Amino acid sequence: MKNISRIVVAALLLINLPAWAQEPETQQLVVPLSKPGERGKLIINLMNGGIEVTGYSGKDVIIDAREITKEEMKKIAVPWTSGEAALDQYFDLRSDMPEPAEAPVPDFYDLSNSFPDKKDNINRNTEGMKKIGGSTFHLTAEEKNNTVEILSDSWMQGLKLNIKIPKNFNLQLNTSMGGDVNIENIDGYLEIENPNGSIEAKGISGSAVLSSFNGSIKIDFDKVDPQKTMSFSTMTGDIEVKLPSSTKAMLKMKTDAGEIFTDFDMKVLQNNPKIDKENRGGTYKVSITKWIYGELNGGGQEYTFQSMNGSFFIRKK
Amino acid sequence: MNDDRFYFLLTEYLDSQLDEGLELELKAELVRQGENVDDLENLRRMSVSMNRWKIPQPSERLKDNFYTLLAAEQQKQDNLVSGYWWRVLSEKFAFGLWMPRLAYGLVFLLLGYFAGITFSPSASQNGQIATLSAEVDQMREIMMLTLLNDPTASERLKAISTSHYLNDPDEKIIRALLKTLNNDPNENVRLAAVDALLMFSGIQEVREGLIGSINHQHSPMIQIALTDGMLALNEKEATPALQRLLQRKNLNPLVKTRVEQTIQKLI
Repeated sequence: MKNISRIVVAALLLINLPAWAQEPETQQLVVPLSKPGERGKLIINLMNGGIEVTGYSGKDVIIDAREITKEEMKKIAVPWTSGEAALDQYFDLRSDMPEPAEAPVPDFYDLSNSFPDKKDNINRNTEGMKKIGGSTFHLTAEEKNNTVEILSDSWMQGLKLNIKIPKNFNLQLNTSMGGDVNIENIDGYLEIENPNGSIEAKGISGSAVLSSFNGSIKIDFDKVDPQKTMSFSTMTGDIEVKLPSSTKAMLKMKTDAGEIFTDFDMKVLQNNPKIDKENRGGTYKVSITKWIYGELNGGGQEYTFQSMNGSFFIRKK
Repeated sequence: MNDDRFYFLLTEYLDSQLDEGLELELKAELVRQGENVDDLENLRRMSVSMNRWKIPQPSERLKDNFYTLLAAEQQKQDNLVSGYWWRVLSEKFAFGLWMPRLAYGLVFLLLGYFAGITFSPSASQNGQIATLSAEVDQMREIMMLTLLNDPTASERLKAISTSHYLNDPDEKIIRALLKTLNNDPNENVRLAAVDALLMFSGIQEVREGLIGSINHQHSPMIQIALTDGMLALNEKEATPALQRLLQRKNLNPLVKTRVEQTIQKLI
């Protein structure tokens, strides 16, 4: 069985736009799969601006990308995310890099020039002026053995991606600065981290591990993979999960300041069922964290919900 | 006159043993009780004649008849039991008598023996149980270490979840959990690692690792999870690390508040 691996370097996209002209143009990349019809995986790291993924009946991966406008950028930029914090997040996702606290900050990452309250005498008023050269964004998509990875060189640039993929795909998405992630109609496993935006998914058959800081998480399952664990975490955002009413699961929930609601017939257990059942007097085991355990339909895989200020809404279909 | 005396006089009278004076006394008592004295006289006469009746003695033939009947009955019994030898044996050993007793005794003896075996495990069985549980723990450890390297976050979560079942995790497991806490790319996995490590906070290495991780983390949720953990453990050793965290630029304000509160409470 030949294992064909192809690297498809799709494009170096250049957009030249005069500043006063129309909306940013959308560019399209079409990425065919090595093994069309078989399960694939989509990986996106460090995208900034918003991602929409929809499952469709075609065989290729179709990527529509456009630069986000200034208005959209303003909406998603978060005040405390600047220079060093952005650098921190970048290093988080590349764990082989040295620890940021010790590594010297390279000059070209210094973003202090983009802060509006810089004190100099330059006149930045652009009324009556044309923008020359426009903005360029570099977007590449690599396909290897049914895994499609979308990379962007200018990770600070805001790009809005609209992607159509075959339904049987697993997703691994990590965004950094902002923008929402919207997933629809996928039969697979979702692993999404969107620290500064919300995550919304519907028409999902499979499982999910989702996390956001300031955004909310909302996911609607048509079917749930009974073999897989799930986990949802936020800091301030609420979490809403809709599960089929026959779902068997053990929910493990903790929120500092939020509330938990469900319309399932959930059997709430006081303690960690695992520690109590198997407590053979292990000397070192301590039950510190205050989790609430809820059993659905007799129990099953563990679904973890955790948040600081967010509330949980666990609904049945 | 009391009852005892009355009945004594009465019986004596019926036996014709009373002298005149006492007879008068008895008759006076009867009159006092409202009884007819003539009835008494009739009663005496009847008593005397009853004494004269003869009790018929059994004839010689009773003895003969009895033995004849006995023999006939025995014959009937013998015809029911087949076999000559059985008859001889049963006559010799009188099974009827002590056989049931022996049977009962044997049954209780056996019951007691088996009950003893069931309820008190022998030394070798205890040893077997200990080795089995150690083997199961070992298998769980191996599975956990393997799964921790899985490219899928969901499987890594499962791996961390199995650590709840371990009783005494060895160094390999602790180091693997700490490495996951500091390096895993997925937020949810790192949070689960904090939780699992807090469960083993009795181990010194675990506490040191958690404190060391505080300034390694850039994610606000993990920073808060570690801070809360230190508070729950009342770990005063963590205060220097927490103060260093406060000095970090661009620390999330929610984290900042939480850390400041925790430092206060840890004093």
